[in-house]
Amino acid sequence: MRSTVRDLLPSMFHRRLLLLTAVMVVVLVVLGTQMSMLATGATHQNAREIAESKLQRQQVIQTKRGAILDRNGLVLAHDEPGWELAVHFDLLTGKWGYKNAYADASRDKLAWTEMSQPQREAKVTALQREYDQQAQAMFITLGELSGLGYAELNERRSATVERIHKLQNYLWEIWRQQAEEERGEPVRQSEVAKPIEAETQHHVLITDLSDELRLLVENFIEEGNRAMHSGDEQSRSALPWTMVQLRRTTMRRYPMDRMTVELDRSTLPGPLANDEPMAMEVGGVGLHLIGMMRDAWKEDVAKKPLRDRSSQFDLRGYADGDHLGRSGIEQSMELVLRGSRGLRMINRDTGETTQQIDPRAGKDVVLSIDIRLQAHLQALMSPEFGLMTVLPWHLKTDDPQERLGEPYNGAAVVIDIASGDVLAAVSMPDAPRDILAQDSALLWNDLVNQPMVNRAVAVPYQPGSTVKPLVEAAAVSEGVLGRDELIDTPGFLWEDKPTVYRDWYWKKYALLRGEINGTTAIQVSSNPFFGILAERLIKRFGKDRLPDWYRSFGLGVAPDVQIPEVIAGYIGSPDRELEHNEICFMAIGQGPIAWTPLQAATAYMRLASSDLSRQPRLVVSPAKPKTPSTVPNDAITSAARDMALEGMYLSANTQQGTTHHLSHPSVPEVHRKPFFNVEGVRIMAKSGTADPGRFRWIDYNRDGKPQEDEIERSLRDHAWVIALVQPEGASQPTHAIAVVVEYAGSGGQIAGPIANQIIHALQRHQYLDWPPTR
Amino acid sequence: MNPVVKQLAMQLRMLLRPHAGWYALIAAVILTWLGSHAIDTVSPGHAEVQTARWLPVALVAMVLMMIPSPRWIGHMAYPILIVAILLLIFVILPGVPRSIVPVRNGSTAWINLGFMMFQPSEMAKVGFVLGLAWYLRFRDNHRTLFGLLVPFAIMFVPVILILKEPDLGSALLFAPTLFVMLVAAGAKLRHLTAILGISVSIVAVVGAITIFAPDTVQILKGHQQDRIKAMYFDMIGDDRMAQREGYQQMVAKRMVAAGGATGYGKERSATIVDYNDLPFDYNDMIFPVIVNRWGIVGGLGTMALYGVLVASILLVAARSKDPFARMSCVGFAGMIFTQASINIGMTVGLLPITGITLPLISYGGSSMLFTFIMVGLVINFAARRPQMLARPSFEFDNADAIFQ
Repeated sequence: MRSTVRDLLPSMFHRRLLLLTAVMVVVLVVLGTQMSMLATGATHQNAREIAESKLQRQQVIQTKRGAILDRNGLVLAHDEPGWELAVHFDLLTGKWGYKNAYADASRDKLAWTEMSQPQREAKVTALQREYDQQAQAMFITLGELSGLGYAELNERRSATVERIHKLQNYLWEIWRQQAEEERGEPVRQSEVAKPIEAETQHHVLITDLSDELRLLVENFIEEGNRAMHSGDEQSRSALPWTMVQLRRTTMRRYPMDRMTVELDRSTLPGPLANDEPMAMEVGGVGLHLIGMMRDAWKEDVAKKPLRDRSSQFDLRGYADGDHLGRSGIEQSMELVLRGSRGLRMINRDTGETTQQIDPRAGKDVVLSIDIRLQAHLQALMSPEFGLMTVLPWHLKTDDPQERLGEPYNGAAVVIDIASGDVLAAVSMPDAPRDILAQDSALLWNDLVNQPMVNRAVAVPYQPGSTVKPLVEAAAVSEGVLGRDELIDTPGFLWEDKPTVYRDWYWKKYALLRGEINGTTAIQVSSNPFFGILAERLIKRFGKDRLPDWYRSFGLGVAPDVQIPEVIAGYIGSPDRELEHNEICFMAIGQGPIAWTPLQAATAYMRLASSDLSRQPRLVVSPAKPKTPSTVPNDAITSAARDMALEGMYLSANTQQGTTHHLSHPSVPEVHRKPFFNVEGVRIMAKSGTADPGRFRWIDYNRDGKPQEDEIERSLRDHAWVIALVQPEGASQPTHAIAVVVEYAGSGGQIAGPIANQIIHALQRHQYLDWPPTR
Repeated sequence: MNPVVKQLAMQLRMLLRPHAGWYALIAAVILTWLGSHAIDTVSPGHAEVQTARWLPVALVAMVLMMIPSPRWIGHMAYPILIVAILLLIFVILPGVPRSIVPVRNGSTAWINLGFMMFQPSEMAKVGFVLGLAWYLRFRDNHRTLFGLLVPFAIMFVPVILILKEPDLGSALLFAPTLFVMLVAAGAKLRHLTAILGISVSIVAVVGAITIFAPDTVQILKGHQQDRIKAMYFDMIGDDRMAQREGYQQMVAKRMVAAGGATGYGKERSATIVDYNDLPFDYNDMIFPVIVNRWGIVGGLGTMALYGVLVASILLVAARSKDPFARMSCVGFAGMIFTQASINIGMTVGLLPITGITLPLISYGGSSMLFTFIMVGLVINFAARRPQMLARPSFEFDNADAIFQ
């Protein structure tokens, strides 16, 4: 072969040229083949589709979040278009000036490399001065134009920077701990410190911009961009405006957040009574239920992006700058409220719209609450009204007088028994949105009072004696207690501990024991009687029967009211079986049992209606599909229900009843005076005094570890009153009310007058008219 | 007739006689015409400058290159190479005012002459080919392994200086051109194959380290790693770098693929390329514009024209007996072919992206000027009648048989 080529082409140079030519031909064939493969078949079709799709500009059409309305159609939350102004973190911190000065100084790379470090620093500092002055002038202008003033704007700027630095420190500490765990050796924070996402973003400084301000800022930004691209020296002062963003946004408005309520004081006990009504403005009305919005986080966008990496749109997805529900109904009904954006395809050549998917507005959500009633309850539970503060008849003999007027925290829930509708659910202290907007840390960092916690649904309290009517209804329904059966009860709950959980009734009459029936037992809140009922239930049906009854009433089960904060409370412990004594203890509402005010009101709604399947409802529309109940409707017999309610009636309406009157000999205006004084209604009620535990730990330094100064001992009990209200003429109770006051003391003494005012409020709002007018 | 006029007329007659060099010129002019139309698709302003300013300058330079005798050009080869090297040193010298040597795309590859931005690396390409050709013309020691040292040294000087600018794309052209010239000059293939094998192995190892090894053991600079990784991930269908480091190549391939058999035509192609944001569409990325506008027909036509251009130059080398002319032509052919192949290869996804233009088609004054200078020199060499009884050059195994 070789010799043949040599014979044909004797010149070595020519043969080498031929070789080179052959190699070049091969290279050209390879290139030509690759090009042809790309430009034919599926690759060609695919590329053409993508290339031509670039001619289509996709424009997202914003949607409108649905409104939230109360049961009377009053708008509680709605969207309103608006603008907000965000400033880049670098400009907020002053890094912008440094970065620009550094870029200017090092632009001439050669000169830069020849400079010493001090020379470099001096050059950067000299150049930075001008940028810093420009930035300050921008903030002064913005402060003046927005009407906020430079000082206020600067404060917001500092607060934002501080917030991000806190976040940075928090993240760095987490990263440091993770690194330590991974490496198994000590790691310094500086080793893991790297810029966090927030340092590369714009942050909102001004919300709700006026059109005039927006137009002015637009002009400044445009001038800044011109200065940046053209290098026009005249416009350099506008450069900082390039770090400002105007964002079109929809402002979520809560028009009923602040309301003024007129409160009648004539029915208040003793020294609080006054013929002059009191006008009170309350803020954050219904906030714990309605919820709040927050900015979409990086994780939200990553989880459900509006536009994914392959440029596909999910019109229900999230993009940077979006808002979504943070708590309450805003969070739980996010999918319903959010709606979906629209998409418009515009030909970039012609400007024509070639295709359009219309946006779909979010659906409105109608709540069961009556916002006026909610505001009323919030007002009467405000410390300014007086009932939620330490009053003279709350003081024990050894209590200092200085305690007078100290505010309590607590919650109240009102349920319409016929429908299960939650008419109001108040948690105190409240959290006005305007204060949240100004200084959210003030509310979030209040670890003692925790105003952001919804105590009505999210804090478990031991029920105390409020469970006794439920236990009696269970015992009668199960046949372990007869209608008029008298039970010989000792003067204490435990035979071996005769000094604790004594029966105050026998104690009062200096008797060691005596016989009482079921209604009297509720009326006088006899501890031993309900211990005996528990014994009987255990003996006949086993240890599970009483806890099962509790579960049927809703304890230990999270009520399905469609807000995320709702908790289940607890019965017993998940990791061990209940002991005999614990079950007896649970029969008087102590021991391993806890519920929320919503669960308490729900349980009494079920008792009053004899319907264990009845559910509380917070969201009226869109209606939830009904699930068939597994609980038999006749589980509570009418005799059982009547006995329990009769006992509650006696408790609230007789001098011997524990839910009847205030008692404090040193305050004669209230001593032995009934606290229920609503006319035209039949009130059945049961008080409860719940053990708050041996200590309370507040993690002030948030280190997750209890320190001695974070432990509070000698706590007062939680005060409960649960009431059922039956308008005159009605055949059964129409409303269930649960009130709890934290760390306050005796149930009826503290929560009784509040429950009374709630019944007055219901009457005033015409819920107790019979026949019904609403 | 005046003897001077007679001499000039004779010279002109000699220049104008038919030879393969004219095919090279025709191919070069058609490629330039094609280039100006392709540039006009995406940037009419650049196309106008290319045809109205650089083409006339380049053609004048080409004509001037036809005049001196090859022997005189040979004598000037080393000085040209030295001047080019001095200019390459000048652009990387610290302290040179940025008004004279500006930084463009992060590189100090240009000298501002006022009327044009002159790129010394383009001059170095011509200087390198002429210098190496002059060096090799009567030698045979490059047939030993030791004898290859000097040719490689001649290559490394401009390559290192160009890499310092930095201009990796231009630097990459020298080694293949050296190989082409050494092959033609009769260097032993086993020596070249061994060197090539070692080089390919090194490239493969570096590539493997870049793609698979952790960051701590990387050899290349960050952006170089990114480009290699981007190409690799694109080849295995992983789009993780498509929107960043691999963006340029992704869009280039898309533009080539979207062109189809016959392309979109001028108006539509202009819109498509514009809205697909093809970077450097009037210089480095001009080939995708050609295929997008004229389709496979345009792409293959362009390759065919390069084939004609390179083949014509090689034909001139084959016809010539002057060793300097022979080797210069081979060097020019190798340089133009390497540059065109790397440019096309990177735009169709066979090679990683490096800043390299498509000769005669991409926008650029210096590039066009020196490519036409090459064509002018080729025509000059082709026009000279071979000396009678001249010793055939680079014939090491059968010289007696040829020298008949």
